[in-house]
Amino acid sequence: MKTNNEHIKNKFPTLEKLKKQNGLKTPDGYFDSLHYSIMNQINETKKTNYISFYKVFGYAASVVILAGIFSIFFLGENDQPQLGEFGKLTVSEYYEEFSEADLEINESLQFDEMAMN
Amino acid sequence: MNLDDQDILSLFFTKGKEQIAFGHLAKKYQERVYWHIRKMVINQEDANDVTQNTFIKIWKGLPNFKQDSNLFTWMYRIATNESLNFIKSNKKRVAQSIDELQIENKSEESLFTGDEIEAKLYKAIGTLPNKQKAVFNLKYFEELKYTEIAEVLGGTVGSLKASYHHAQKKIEAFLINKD
Repeated sequence: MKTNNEHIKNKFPTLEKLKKQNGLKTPDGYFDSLHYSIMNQINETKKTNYISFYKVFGYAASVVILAGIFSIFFLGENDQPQLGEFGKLTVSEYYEEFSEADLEINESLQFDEMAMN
Repeated sequence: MNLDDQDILSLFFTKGKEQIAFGHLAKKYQERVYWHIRKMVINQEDANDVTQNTFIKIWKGLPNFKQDSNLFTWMYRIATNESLNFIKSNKKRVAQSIDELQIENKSEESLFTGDEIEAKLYKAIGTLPNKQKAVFNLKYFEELKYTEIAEVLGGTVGSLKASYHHAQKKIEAFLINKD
């Protein structure tokens, strides 16, 4: 009985004859330089990764700083004096402020009464 | 020092030792990976570029490598995909490289030392559909087992055997008949 290898040899004799040859060659010392090139490329990839990390970090930091500046200049602007600012008001300004608040309370009470009726 | 795959992987997953481990990996497999790629794309410079791209992909993919498959079949998978992508987008160039094998052989600095029949073999391989080409090369040149080829390319052992058999038939016919 024929073995599988014998069968293949008979069926594909030319292929079988060529099997251990490939005819292709590399330049002298090619694999030393290939190893060096590969490791260089890996180094470059690592550097690029670090740069992109710092870039992302830089962008994130810029966004946080801009958001901070925006909130100080725009969101912080309010017509109503803030709690901490009452200490800076003069006595007359203080009463004026509170009388305005009383008026607002009275207005809202009147509105509620109207709604009840 | 030639480390085995498991030692290389352990070293790679040790913080700060990644590059040393990868150096061992590249040294151990660069020739096999290169020759597999070279027999697919034929031209030395193209093979050089594809090999370097393959190793960059291996470097990037290694942190996510699941150790349930063989390291070298995983590397062959990347190398095969890179080669097939190169062939797909450079059909004319690869065909030209194959045609040049016979011409190249006449010059002294040639990177092809084979005879006419060997040049014809590459021409015949070039006529195969891409996946069949990969099956043929992995079995014929690399002598991988069908189970290993299945890990590289996917598919069942049965379908790979059939694919290899068809490829052999086509190539043998090409070698015998075509001028």
